[in-house]
This record gives sequence, C-alpha cells and structure tokens, in this order.
Amino acid sequence: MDLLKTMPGDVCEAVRSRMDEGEDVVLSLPGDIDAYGEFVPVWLVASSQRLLVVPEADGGKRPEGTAPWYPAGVREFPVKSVKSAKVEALVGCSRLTADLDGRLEVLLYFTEAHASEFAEAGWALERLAAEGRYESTCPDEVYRCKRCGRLLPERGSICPACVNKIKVLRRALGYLRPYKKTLVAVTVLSLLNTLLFLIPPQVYRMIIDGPLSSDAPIDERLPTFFLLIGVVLGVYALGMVIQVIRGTIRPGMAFGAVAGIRSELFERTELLPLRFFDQRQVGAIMSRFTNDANTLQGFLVEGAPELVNNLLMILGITVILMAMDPVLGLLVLLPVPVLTVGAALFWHYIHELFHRWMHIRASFAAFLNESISGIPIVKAFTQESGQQEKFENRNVRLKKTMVHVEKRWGQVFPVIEFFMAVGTVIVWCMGGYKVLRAYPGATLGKLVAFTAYLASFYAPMRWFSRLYQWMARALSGAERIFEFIDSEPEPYDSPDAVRIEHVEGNVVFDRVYFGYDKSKPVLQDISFEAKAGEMIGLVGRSGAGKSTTIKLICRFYDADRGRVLIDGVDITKLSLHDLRRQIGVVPQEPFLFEGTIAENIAFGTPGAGIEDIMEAARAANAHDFICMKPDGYDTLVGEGADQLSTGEKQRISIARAVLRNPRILILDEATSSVDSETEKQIQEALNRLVKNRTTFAIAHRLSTLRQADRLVVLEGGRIKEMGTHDELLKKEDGVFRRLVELQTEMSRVVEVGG
Amino acid sequence: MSASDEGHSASKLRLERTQRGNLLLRRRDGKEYDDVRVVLAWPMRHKDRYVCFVNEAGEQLAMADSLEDLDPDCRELVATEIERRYLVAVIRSIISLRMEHSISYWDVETDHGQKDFVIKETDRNPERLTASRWRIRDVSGNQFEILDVFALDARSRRFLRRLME
Repeated sequence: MDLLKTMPGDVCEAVRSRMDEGEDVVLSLPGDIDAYGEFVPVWLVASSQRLLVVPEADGGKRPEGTAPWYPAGVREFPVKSVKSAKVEALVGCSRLTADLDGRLEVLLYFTEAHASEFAEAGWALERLAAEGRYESTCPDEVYRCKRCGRLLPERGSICPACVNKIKVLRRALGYLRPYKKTLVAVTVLSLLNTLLFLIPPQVYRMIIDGPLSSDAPIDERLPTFFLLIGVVLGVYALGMVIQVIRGTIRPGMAFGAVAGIRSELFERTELLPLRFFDQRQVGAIMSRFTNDANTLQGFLVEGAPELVNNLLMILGITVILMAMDPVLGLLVLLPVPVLTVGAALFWHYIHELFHRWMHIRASFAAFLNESISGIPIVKAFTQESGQQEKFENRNVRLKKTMVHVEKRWGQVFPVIEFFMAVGTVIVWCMGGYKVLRAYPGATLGKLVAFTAYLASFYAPMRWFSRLYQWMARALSGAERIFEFIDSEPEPYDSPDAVRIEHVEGNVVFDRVYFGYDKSKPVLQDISFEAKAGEMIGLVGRSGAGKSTTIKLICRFYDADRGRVLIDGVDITKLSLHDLRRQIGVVPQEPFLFEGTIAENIAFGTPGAGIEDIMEAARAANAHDFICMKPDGYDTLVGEGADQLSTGEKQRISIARAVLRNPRILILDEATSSVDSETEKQIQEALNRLVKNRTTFAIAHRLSTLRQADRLVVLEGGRIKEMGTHDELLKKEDGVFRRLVELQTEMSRVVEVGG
Repeated sequence: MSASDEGHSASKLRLERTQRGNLLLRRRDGKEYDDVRVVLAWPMRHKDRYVCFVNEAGEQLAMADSLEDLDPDCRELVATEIERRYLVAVIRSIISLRMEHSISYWDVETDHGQKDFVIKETDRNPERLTASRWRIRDVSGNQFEILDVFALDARSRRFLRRLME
C-alpha cells in the first residue's frame, strides 16, 4: 500500500521546518477530519525520527467556543515512543490512537474511506518505532477512478461513468459472431426485401399514369393493367417467401447469442471470489441472468441485424425521392433533423431511467427470493400481512418506475409520429397543388408513388427511434452483465502457480493477520503448525475467528499479512485447483444439490463407481438409512424434495468429503444441529474419517475434541492457548478450562431440567 | 461475573479520564473498570439516552438510561465521547448531485464542512427515518443526515426530487 502521498505546499513546509537536514519523510497520509470535526485534511507524517500531525491550512473559520477533539495545530512526537498504534472504528468515522510510552494519544480522525490506509499506517508506525523501517505489502485500495477521479461505488470496481458505451454495444454484438453466416444471410434477405418493396410504388405510378389515364381503347389498356397488377402481386408473394425464410433463421441466431452471454456469465460467476458474494443478495445476482440477459435480446433480435438494412433503406429512398422531385424530396427530409436531435436528447434521459428500473427490479427479485425462502418463519410469526405490505412497497416502486419510463415513451412517441405525418401533409399539399396547377411533369401517378415511398421512408425512421429504446435497454443490461464478467476472478490458473500432485498435509500459519474489512482485523498474529495426519481442534466463542481460520486454509480469502503454508509452500503460490482438490469440507449446514443421493455423494468426485459411493456412505454411517429409502441411492433430494433429516443430510455431506479422499479435512461444527444419538453416529463416522489426514475441527461440544493432537484456543482473533485437551484442562484460569466448565454446568442444567 | 449493573441507580455512575488517557468507569457497586468505551443503544433515535459503557471486548459494564442521570461534569465527558463516536454529518445544502446507473455522486455542505461522497441506491438508502428526515450511507460506511428535506433550499430539493423520481 502506498503510504507516501504527495503533500500540499503548506504541509510540506511545516514538515520541512521541523525536520533535520537529511531526514526523510517515509510516511505521509491525509486524513479528512480535523481537530474540530470539520472535513478538512490533516496529514499524518513520519520520518525515522519523529511523528507529526499536520493540519492543512484553512481560513481559520473555527466555530467560537468549541473545544477541539485534540490539540489543534501541528503536533510532534518522537517516533520511537510509539508502542502501538491502532485504528478504533467509530460510527461514521474512525480514529488512530497511539500508545506513546504508556500514554494514549488520539493522533487523528478520518472518515471510513481512509480506515484501511490508516490501519496499515498504524502498523507501519509500530514497525518504524521498533525497527526504524517498514515495508507495506498490502495491496493499494483504489477508491477513486484513475481516469476521471470519480469516487468508485466499490473499492477497486470499474468506474461506471468511464464505461465506453460504443465498446459495450460492440462487445454485446460480439456474441453474434458464432452466427456470422446466419447474420449475413439475414442481412442479405432483409436487403432483398427492401429492394423488392421499392418496386410497387413505381408500378402503381405506371398503372395510374398508364392504363388508368390513357386515352387508348379499353381493350388495349386492360392487358397492360392486368400485367402490372400481376407484377405487384408477384412482388408481394416473393416478399412473403423472403420474410418467412428470414423469420425462420433469425430467432436461432438471436437467442443463441443471448444463451452465449448467459453461459459466459455463469462461468464467470462461479469463478468469482467469495468476497464478491458476501456483498450481494442472491436474488440480485439471479436477476442478471434472467432480466438483464433478456434486455439484450430485443437489441440482438431486431435491433442490430436490421441496422444496416434500415440505413440503406433510408438512403435508397432519399435518392429515389430526390430523383423524382428534388424540391419535394427536400421537404420530406425537413422533419429528419428534428427527430434526430430530439431522440438523442431523449436517449440520455431514458437510459438513466432504464438503469434505475433494472436496479429496482433486481432488488425486487432479491426481496422475493428472501421472503419465499423465509416462508416458514413468516407463517410461524404470522407476519403474512406485514410481508404483504413490504412487498407492496417494492411492487409499487417497480410499477412507478416502469410507469414513468413508459409514460415518457407514450408522450414522446406521438410527437415523433406527428412530425412524420407533417412530412406527408407537406407532400400532399405541395404535390397536390402542382398536380392541380398541371405543372409540367407533375402527374397524379407520381404523387401517389411519392406518398407511397414516404410511408416506407418513415418506417425505418420510426424504427430508428425505437432503436434508441432497444439500445438504452440493451446498454443498461449489457453494462450490468459485463460488470460481472469483468470482475477479477479467483486466480485459478495463475501461470506461475506451483502445481502439486500430492499434498502431504503439513499446514503452517505464520503470523497471519486478516480482516474482511482491512481496518477491522478478525485474525491477529495467528501462528500454529499442523503436521501431516494431525488433528487440530479450533476452540473459542462465536466470533473468535474459528471459521475465518478455516476459510483461509481453503483460500477463500487471502491473508492480509503473514503466510499460510501447505507443505512449506505459500498457499498463494499454489495452484488453487490442486489445493482445493486435496481439501474435504464438512460444513456446519449440510447443503444438498437437486438430484439423487448418489449424485450428491459423488458431487466432488464425478465418475465415482457404485462401489466407491457405497463405501463412502458406509464410512459416513449413511449406508443403512439410504437403503431404507424407497429409491435407495437413487432417492431424489434437494430443494423441494425435503424428506431427509438434518442428521441424514449431514452424513451425506460427510460421505461426499470421504469419497474425495482428501489430505486435509475440515469439519466446521459438523455435529452442531443434530440430537445426541445422531451425533454419536456422525462422530463414529468422523473418527474413521480423520485417520491419516490432517484435520481441522471446530466443535461445539468440546468433549468431541478429546482425541485432537492439539487444540488452538482463539479469543478476539488471537491465539490464547494451545495444547492437548488434557494439558489445557490442567491450566488454572485457562480459557479452555472455563469453557469446558461452563459446558459441563450447562449439560447438568439440561439434565435436571429435562 | 455478571457484567450488568442493573438494579443500581445510575446516579452514582462515574466516568473519568485517567492520566494515561483512558476512560475509567466507577460503578455503583464500587467496581472500577479501565479502558471503557461509551456507546449508544439507539444512536439513530436517542443521542442522550440508553448510554452504555462497555469494555474492550464489547461486554457491557453499565448503562445509564439518560445523560440526565449523571453528574454534570461526568455528563459533559460522556457527551463529548458520544459526539466523537457518532459522526453523522448533517447536510445543510446540496451543491451538486449527479446520478449515473443507480449510483449517485453527492457534493454537499454539512455542519462539518464540505464533503463529496458516493452512494449506491437501494431500497433503504437513502433511508427515510420519517417523511422529512433522511439518513444516507455512503459506500465506505459514512453516514449523513438531512434533518428536514422540506427546509432545504429550492436547488437542493430539486436535486432530491430528481433522485426520487
């Protein structure tokens, strides 16, 4: 992390004036709240000698009579006096407090945006005091767009304003690439169709100015008349054939492209790190697959393929009209600039509305997902009407936005229509006048042909005004989809990753620090070793960091500082694929997928034989109950087919881990939600399972950890005690001993009570 | 060891700043606790009621139902602590507000000075505590409040109206 930001002139001067010759600034970081709680920058500056807190010069408009939160003005402390420096998270702001030789000093306040930086700075100050130097290995947190300087919606995310719109649409069109041949065919057919429909008006003109108004005898006129009628009929028939062919091949292309987008979206979504999912609701993610992908459809089905065609149509007809009558032709073009400018202005506005609408729709989906999954709770607490009310709120919001969007369209569209109609009226007026006055070359046939062309001229114009709508929708949808696709995936296939065929199972935590939010550490200074085949029990109250420790072994997250080593190799250097292949997890909440029991057991080991599956099930104490099911191993389970008890599900999830035969086994409170009898059965299964594997077990009932080689007792993210079950029990005043005593007491209460 | 001080009158609760710079709590039962933090149970609704005193681990040591229950000198210290812990800047006027893709970029004048921030709009952000009082959370977790949207100047209200459209 870059902790050396460029100081403004006055701060720089104030710092220089206090430093000796040759003394270098090694840390300079701006906070954004001053001693009076105002949003004014204050700098934390450090050299190898001293620590300075320097406020940026400001007009001095201090509220009269208010006492500062800490002494205002420049403050100086010897850097050597820093014993510790920690960020204390407050609400809406945080502060950096240092222990200076036993005296606590609030160095400065800052808003949450800077908390991570100052957490790192605090650590750097401690190093500076102890070792005279520091090295920051934490990655920089980017919270402003590098291009436009806008604050980002999420740290390190893509700036939504800097997305190149044309590029986004081009990229969406890229999904049509596999259908190049179809696309060409569709375009050619459309073009033929267009050219074909340029013929009838000319024929009508010939009919009106020829047979209809000729002075020749009727017998001579009739054959020409029928011939021309036949031509028109033929043209329309041919047009029908072309349109049928086009209509047959076009859907496959467009929907194929949308399916392509969806499959890439799913593929990318699965590769995204867990951190990504922590921040989002399931329903909102699902909305991108269904709603957002569908918005691209309109654009890809009717928008893009017709673009060239409609452009050519407009050009072609313009040329014909100009050739027929230049003056009238120009008049027809009159409304065009008005339409173009109007639509362009409208486009920006409507795009914003669409984005908002999609966003609201996603939150609507998220709410629906939540309330349907939570229906048992809703019923149990008889909150149906309350939920209905909450639903209505969102429903109304969704409706309101959509009404707003459609209303605007409903208002603008007639205006567009009107301008087009005005064009036609002008032609009838000018053309009709010419015909009436019998201007040379002004015939009725020409006027009819002209107005007929006009209709085919405004049709693509109207299409273009709809194109804006498609593009607005498609652009919003595409942006939301690409936001997912472009998010940084987990480094599964880093080219310089160390490949490992076989893991021994030595796991070492070396001074590991970690926090989901960097300024709020969850694990601090965690160091322990698990030799291959050992069983390590993780003990502590909820929130002590047990599950987080396990997540670091699976590398669901990376340590902020320190290293996790597997067989002596830093976990971040290992191939993620190889690592996770060697890890078996039995989670606290067993999760079964839609499918049969056999499929669920073989989930992590596709292609496992029937024998292997049964063996795994036996090892998990699951074989017997599975056989009792009507369909045995082929019994359907998963959401909706809820016939398994929690204990049964848990044993299936153990069998899943067994079948994989992992070197490292993780048991995350595998027996927390079952009764004692089932627990016994599961425990038996687990005892078989842990043999010859490195095992990490979190257990609610501490007695189940008796056979662990070592227990790691966590408290507040730090290791408090370490040792065997018996060793820790002997420890007077030990944390573990207290926990065990509490539990014995509890079970006695339970025995007496029930 | 029960951490609560229930049943005791809060009038004898004492809070002091130590030489070291910590806060020291003296409970009515005479027990003393060093390194105490002051937190509010209802920070959004009551700034001067249900004041809790907790230790470093977050365990509650005592609660004062109201700031009024404390001795005057002690009350001031507690009030200062609360002021510093809960920084919710009150927006006085909106200098600019731009929306793009359900993300809005704000530049505002607050009682703590000028500030720019970004929010991601959701169902509950801005949150309407009442029809006129809004709470806004920016993407990094800072909080802002508009005490009365109807009392804002016309330009600020126009920004908000566009946001809510």
